[in-house]
Amino acid sequence: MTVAWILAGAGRIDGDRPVGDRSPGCPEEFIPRNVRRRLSRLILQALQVTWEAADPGIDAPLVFGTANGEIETIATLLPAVLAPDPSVSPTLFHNSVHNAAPGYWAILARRFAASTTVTAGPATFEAALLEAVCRLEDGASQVQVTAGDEAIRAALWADPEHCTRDFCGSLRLASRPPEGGRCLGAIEFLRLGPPEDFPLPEGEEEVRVFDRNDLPGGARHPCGSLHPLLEFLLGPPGARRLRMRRTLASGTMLEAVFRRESGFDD
Amino acid sequence: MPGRSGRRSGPGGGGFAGTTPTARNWALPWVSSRGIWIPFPGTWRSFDTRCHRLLAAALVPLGPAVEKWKERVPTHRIGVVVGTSASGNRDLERHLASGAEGPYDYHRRQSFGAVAVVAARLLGVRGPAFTVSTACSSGAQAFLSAAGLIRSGRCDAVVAASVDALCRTTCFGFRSLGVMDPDFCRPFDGDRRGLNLGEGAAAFLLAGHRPTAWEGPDFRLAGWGSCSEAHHMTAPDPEGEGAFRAMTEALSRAGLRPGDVGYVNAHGTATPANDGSESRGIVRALGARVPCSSTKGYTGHLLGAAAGVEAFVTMLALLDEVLPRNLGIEDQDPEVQARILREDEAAPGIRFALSNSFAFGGNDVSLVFEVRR
Repeated sequence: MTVAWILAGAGRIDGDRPVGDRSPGCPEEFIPRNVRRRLSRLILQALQVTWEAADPGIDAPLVFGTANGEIETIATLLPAVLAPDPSVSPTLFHNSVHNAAPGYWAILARRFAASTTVTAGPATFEAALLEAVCRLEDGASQVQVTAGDEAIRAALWADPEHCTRDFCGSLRLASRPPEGGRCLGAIEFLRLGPPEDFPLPEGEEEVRVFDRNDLPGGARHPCGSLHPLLEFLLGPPGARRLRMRRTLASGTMLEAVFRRESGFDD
Repeated sequence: MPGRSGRRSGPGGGGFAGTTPTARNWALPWVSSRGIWIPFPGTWRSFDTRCHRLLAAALVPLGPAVEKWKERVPTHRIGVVVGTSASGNRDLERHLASGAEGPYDYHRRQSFGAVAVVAARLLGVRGPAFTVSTACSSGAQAFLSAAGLIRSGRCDAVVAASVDALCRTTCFGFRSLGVMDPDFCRPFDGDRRGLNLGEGAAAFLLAGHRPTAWEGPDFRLAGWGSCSEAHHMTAPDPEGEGAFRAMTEALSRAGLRPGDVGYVNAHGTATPANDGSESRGIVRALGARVPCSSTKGYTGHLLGAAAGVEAFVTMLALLDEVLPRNLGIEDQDPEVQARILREDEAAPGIRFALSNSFAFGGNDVSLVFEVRR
């Protein structure tokens, strides 16, 4: 049983460090200089990884996951908003919405497919993945899921410790196996239920992820659970399967098992 | 604030019946007869923001229906999706403006994900709970995500809610764009000057099937369409291409022809750019004879809550078989070719209606509802 095939993936830490070694690199001309200077680090990195995992010939729906959204843009706006005679930058204002990155993606890549933005605190990537899989199961042939957050620097009211580095990643999922069979891997299943219903199988030789959001070096990140998945898919061959588990804030557990395709480099 | 005493009075003072252990750990909200007063004592206090109060006020009337579902299916089979565009911005602004020192509970008061957590814990459900945030179409996207959870078989029922509390960032942000009318807004009028802002919340319980022994009418989310305009971050495509695509997809999913739709609740913000674009999209997708109105003349633009409240208005129109007039219009813009309702209109036997929601980033959503009497 396979619920989705993973056709492509990309990830970046701190803006310029790719995850794995298969990133084609987003060309500079994709984001014109006059647009680039208006963008937050989150939008910029989301655009880059989405481009890197996209197929130029396929207009796939985009599910964007971000826990804090444009928190740095809001922090920049607030002094002007709270001033006695407020004068707000219209560009900063429309860039402050959570769906700014998907909006720019559609404009720059000329994509007309649907997009949405999902946010769920430390389970943001899992919620975005759930949304993407539901869309595949509802008839979409491909769905791209991009998730990320920027390091909190200026937002003094926020808890900066929960997001200390920039990280964005993207996966392109398909509802059917690709022609020729070449893909990064697959999602064998994604299920929800009470934690007690999901005992860990014994004796499985696979990487296991338990409710962790750490990036390399121990930095916490709301979308950090995407990082080991990208390393699993894009890094040197290792374990064949990866099990992701997270207890959501409402109490239910989300569990997904990923399989790496060994024949990708053949 | 009316009812500041917090006494448990008024028509909504019963709270939820049969609360679960999860819900008992939290205080129950109350709606006073004089307005919203929802105390957040004890462990709730750290979640006490205007956004969460508005959301709780919308969830209170839904409580009994959710309780009935909790008797039928495990609580982890009931999900929550909430749309919001601003979450706790209003309370954050007040906190910063007050000069208050000390830590601010970002995760409970400001994080966008918190609104779904609050809703799930208020209702005592344990299924997947997350927030969607696509600016002014957030409430419509909540319907899409809820429907996806049900259609995938991962949930039996999902609460689709939407909420926004008005904040200075939104007010002065829209002012900076030059799209605020200082007077009452006039959607589709030739002399329209922009929008009015508001705040609110709405909540719906979606299920994969109509329960046996369900009394009275119900509504079906018959179809939906969603697309990206790929045009501009704030300005709509002048030809209404995105609106056309969203409505056409919604019709296709519902298996309907244009003539089957008996009413369109338009996005109709009363900005010069939106209303002309939307009218062109409506005429292309549904023709020029379908009755349309924007109800933002009654409510203002409720941003992330707009789609939820307008879905409710759309369902009321289906239920009452009366289409609401487009409040504020005097002289229809000659560029607007859609049939805008200048008076309430009887619509006996109406079955399908469509509601549009468009947003920054070119995020367009159309929902088609069917009433089943």
